[in-house]
Amino acid sequence: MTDENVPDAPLLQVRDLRCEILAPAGTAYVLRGVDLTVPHGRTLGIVGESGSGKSMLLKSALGLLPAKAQVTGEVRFDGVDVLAMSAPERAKFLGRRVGVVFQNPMTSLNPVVPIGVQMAEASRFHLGLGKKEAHALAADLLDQVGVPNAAKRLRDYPHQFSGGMRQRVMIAMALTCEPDLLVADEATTALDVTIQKQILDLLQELQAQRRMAMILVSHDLSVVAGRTDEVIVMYAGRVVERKPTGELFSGETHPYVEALSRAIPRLDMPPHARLSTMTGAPPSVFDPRPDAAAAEREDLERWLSAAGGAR
Amino acid sequence: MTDTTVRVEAPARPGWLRDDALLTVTDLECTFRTASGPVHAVRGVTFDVLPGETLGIVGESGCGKTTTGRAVLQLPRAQGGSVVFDGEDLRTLRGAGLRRARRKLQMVFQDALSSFNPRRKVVDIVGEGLEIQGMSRAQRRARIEEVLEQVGMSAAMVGDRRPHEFSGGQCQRLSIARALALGPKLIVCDEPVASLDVSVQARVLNVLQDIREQNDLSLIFISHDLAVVRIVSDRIAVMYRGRIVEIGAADQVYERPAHPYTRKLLDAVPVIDESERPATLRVEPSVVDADWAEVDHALVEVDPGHYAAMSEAARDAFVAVAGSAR
Repeated sequence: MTDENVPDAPLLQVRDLRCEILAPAGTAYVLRGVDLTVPHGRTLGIVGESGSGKSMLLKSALGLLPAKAQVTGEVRFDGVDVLAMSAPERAKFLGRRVGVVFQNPMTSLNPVVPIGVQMAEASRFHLGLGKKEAHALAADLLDQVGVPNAAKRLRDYPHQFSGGMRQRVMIAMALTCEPDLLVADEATTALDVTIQKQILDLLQELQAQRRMAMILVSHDLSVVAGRTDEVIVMYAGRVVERKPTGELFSGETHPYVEALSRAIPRLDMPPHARLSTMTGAPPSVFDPRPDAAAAEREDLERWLSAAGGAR
Repeated sequence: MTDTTVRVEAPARPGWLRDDALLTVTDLECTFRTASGPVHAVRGVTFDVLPGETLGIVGESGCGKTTTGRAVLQLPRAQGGSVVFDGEDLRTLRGAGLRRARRKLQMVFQDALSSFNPRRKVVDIVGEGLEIQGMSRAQRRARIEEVLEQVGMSAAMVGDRRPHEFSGGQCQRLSIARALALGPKLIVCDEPVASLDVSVQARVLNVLQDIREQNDLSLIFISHDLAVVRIVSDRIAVMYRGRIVEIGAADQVYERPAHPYTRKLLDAVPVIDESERPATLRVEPSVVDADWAEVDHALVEVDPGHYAAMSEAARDAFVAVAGSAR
């Protein structure tokens, strides 16, 4: 796959990505300069609270935002500058090479179209397959992600699938064009634990089989803890921590990451244990200051003064 | 509905029920009529809750945990069994009698925002129960102020605002305030933190623990998240396909999970640190009922007060293994 001139270039390289949106209330500084790298075949975890910019980071990097959003910075996919492309060019390029699974399949699937037809859309558009071939490919993919009676179920509508099965359909769709990068944005957040485990296991299995790179986005540190190579933690539109997953909690940990992990209930806590909570709220997205003093949140004060807020 | 003759051979009182309970639910049966025939959502569920105690009910979606919680409030009335709350069988109450009982029984739903009338002011929503129960405006105002404070909010902060002006965590705290307003003895919380971020979730869980302590409340806490249930609950009931398959003190169920399904659930929870999982989970009992998913084994005692649905042989095997694993 790396037949580019630079053999060891990462699959996805994002530098100083910024996203600003003009809203009636003023300019929203959604991303304040984000860097990230996803090497071929590796898994990156992105963690942060809602509003920290995780989803906007993906959408900005993949060019999925409307023109109203001003996205600046550099996004290179397999060495190609993605942000320099026109929207249709980008859709053609990334649509084939990146598969995305979102949190709520019911909002990404058309409720009145059988899933077989929806699944065939991508292969007909990007791969130029005929109706029959596209259908056969869809059946094959459904089978691979563990949907029983795949060929029959192509005729079913989204509401006829359970939450877990619907998410499998989304994964099958994302795999249609044999992407180099699979992005799962809170893909298991709405599922219960046993189904969540099945889906995460499935994603890992498929990734290993197909040697894809993967980005796993979650607000829950424990979801990415055992399943990623590297983790970045986002806060207020910036990356505040970046570490190999295994070292996330060893050595010096960013106070925000520590606070986030202390807010998660553990299986070995005694009944009626108190969780530590963070005081205050994250800085407003409308705050124009570059490192929008997270001082509102007392827990972060110490770190911010020490680190000076780079990155 | 006059099925008084059904109990010819009164079954022996299950060993996990206690005498001083605030709520005792026995043999609860809930059936829904659907186009493809009746669905038995809850089958023979029996549990109790002591004053001031929190019972956690865990299981995957569709296991009947929500139906069980709602049947306690008679929303809707169960088809069979009894729900004795504070000395009265709620299933036999109607109209005014049921309304009186419901003052002491409240519910907090998963999606707080959709449980609020979007056109009403939040203060009125929190005070609606008080209004229905006939409290004067001035008294209401004082009580609303009081319960808002208990959930870490204030009347000044809430003002004249409407539900959509609050965040998810705030809405959940408002719905807890609404449940508290009437001074209940028991609150059924159905997945109250399922759609919240971890840091917001932590705050709501702490609020729930505070109000439980301050008001000496009993809680039924329904969730699919075992880690969340663990920290709020004194006792745990694990449900699978409409039945309780394991019940016991939280420490018993989490440290020595007996039923294969409980073990499966505990194994599926994502954790930051693998050592969080109970050590006995790593020791597979030598004999597990191969048919556990198909056959409804009766609940047998695996430890004092700790019951699991399994055959006697499997129980003995479990006790032998888990006993030595301690």
